[in-house]
Formats: sequence, structure tokens, C-alpha cells
Amino acid sequence: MSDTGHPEESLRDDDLREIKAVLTRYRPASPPASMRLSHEQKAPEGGHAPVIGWVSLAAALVAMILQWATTAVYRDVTTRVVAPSLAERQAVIDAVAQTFGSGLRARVEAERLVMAAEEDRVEHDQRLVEVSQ
Amino acid sequence: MREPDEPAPDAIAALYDRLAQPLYRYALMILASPADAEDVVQRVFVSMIALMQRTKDVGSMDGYLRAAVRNECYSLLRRPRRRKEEAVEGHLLEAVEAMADDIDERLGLERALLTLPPEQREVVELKAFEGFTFDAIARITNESVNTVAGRYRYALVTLRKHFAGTPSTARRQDP
Repeated sequence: MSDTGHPEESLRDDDLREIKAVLTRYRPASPPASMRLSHEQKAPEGGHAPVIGWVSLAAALVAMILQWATTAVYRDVTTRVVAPSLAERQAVIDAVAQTFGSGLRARVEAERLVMAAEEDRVEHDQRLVEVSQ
Repeated sequence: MREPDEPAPDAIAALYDRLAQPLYRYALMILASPADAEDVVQRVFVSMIALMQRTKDVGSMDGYLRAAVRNECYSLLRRPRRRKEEAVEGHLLEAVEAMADDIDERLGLERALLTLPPEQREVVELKAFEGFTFDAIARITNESVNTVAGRYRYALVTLRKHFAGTPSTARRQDP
């Protein structure tokens, strides 16, 4: 078949079956480590699983305590610094996210903290209004 | 204490575990850039939290998130100073079965995919990798069935042409 440059005219269905077969052997690459899913971070089954499980549990407890302490501190900080402009708000979120590490979970947690701080700020302002009245 | 309407962290985590990976792969095939794809999925999930405060039906989020990722991807593609696609060679695909990975073949297919326009790569991702029907792809992309079917065929023809010249393919064709 002559190749005129037009894709429809240049190849037959037989030729396309070959590339379809190649495509079935591959898929788009997995996300990077910073986006790793929680179920992929669980301890594998096998001989060392109980040990890894206890280590993971201990690490999780330490992380939870640190998270609680950090959360308390940053909730206080963000309550004081949450700014009116979107750009400043985003800067606050970025700064808080950096303290939690990288990846989506850090950003999600930072966003949640800033939103909570904003709600606290609104309630605080509301109380001030009520007191002044 | 959480407000009654605030999304539960477990619900967000479950949604993330279920959808982050396929959405990342979808974004990766449109953008051909792992860093950009990660950014897009992150932005969409962060903005999703606000939406979840208004809707409790987590199941309905699938379509919303895919549409949001798609919008973010094409919005990013329209920006003038975007990273070059050539920088991602070797990071676009992986073998379905790791043991069967043929590096030459995979890189050849990647190079061929990078010659496609994003709209055609998107249809290849949805049809060949995710197994959607043309009807479903038409709904996702808001195009006609004929348009998406045409894009798919054009994409296959282009892939076949570029892929035919790779060393791996030449080796496979030897008697």
C-alpha cells in the first residue's frame, strides 16, 4: 500500500493489531513515592511481618504524637497568620505543608489545618462582636 | 472536634487510595510529565476537600475528579512556559508484568506516544489502558463518538509508524 502521508491510507487493520497487542503489555507508569498509597505502605505478609508490624505500629504511634503536637502548634500559628488574600493564604498552606514533608497527604493536612484555623478565627471575631455589643 | 459536615479523614484517605493512582496515570498520559501529573492530582484532591463539605456522596466523586483532573491538565497545557515533554522519556510507561518488561520495546512505545498530541494520548489511555468504550470516552471528553474513535485510529496509525522503526520491533520481525 502506498504511503500518501494520510494516516488512514497508510496502514491496514492488520498493522494496527500489532500495535494494539504491544499496548496491552504496558500501562502508564505508577505514581512516584511521594504519592504512594496507604495500603502499599502496610507490612508485607511473611516471616518478618510481625516484627515489621510492631515497628510500624511504634513508628505510627510516634508519628501520631508528633502530629498531635505539631498540629496544636500550627493550628495556633495559622490562626494568627491566616491572611485575607488568596495568595497569602496559599503561602501559609505551602509553609505548613512543608513542615509535614512532601506529597499530597502533607498538602491535604495543611489545607485542613488552615481551614480549621480560619473557622476558629471567624468564631473568635464573632465572639468579639458579641462581647462588644 | 470535626463539624458534622466535615469530611472524615478516613473517607478522604479511602477516596485517595482508590482514585489517586488511576487519576495520576490519566494525567500522566495527557501531560507526558510525571511532575506535572503529580501537581495536577494534588491540586485536585486539595480542592476536593472543600467540595466534600458540600456533598456527602463520596461515590459520585469519581466522575467529578476525573473531569477536574482533565480540566487542570488542559489548563496546564495552555500555559506558555511548560516543561518540555522530551525530558520524561523512560518514565511514561511500565510493563503490566514486571518480568515481561522489554526495555527497548517500552522506550520505543514511549517515544511513539510522545509524538502524539495530548488529545490522542488521552484517548489511547482511556481506550487501550483503561478499557473504556468509545461512548464512555465521548462522555468523559465531551466530544462525539466519531471524534474519539477517529482520534484513536489516528493515534494507532501514528504509533505503528513510529514504533515500526524501533530496534525491538525490528528484532521481533526477524524470522
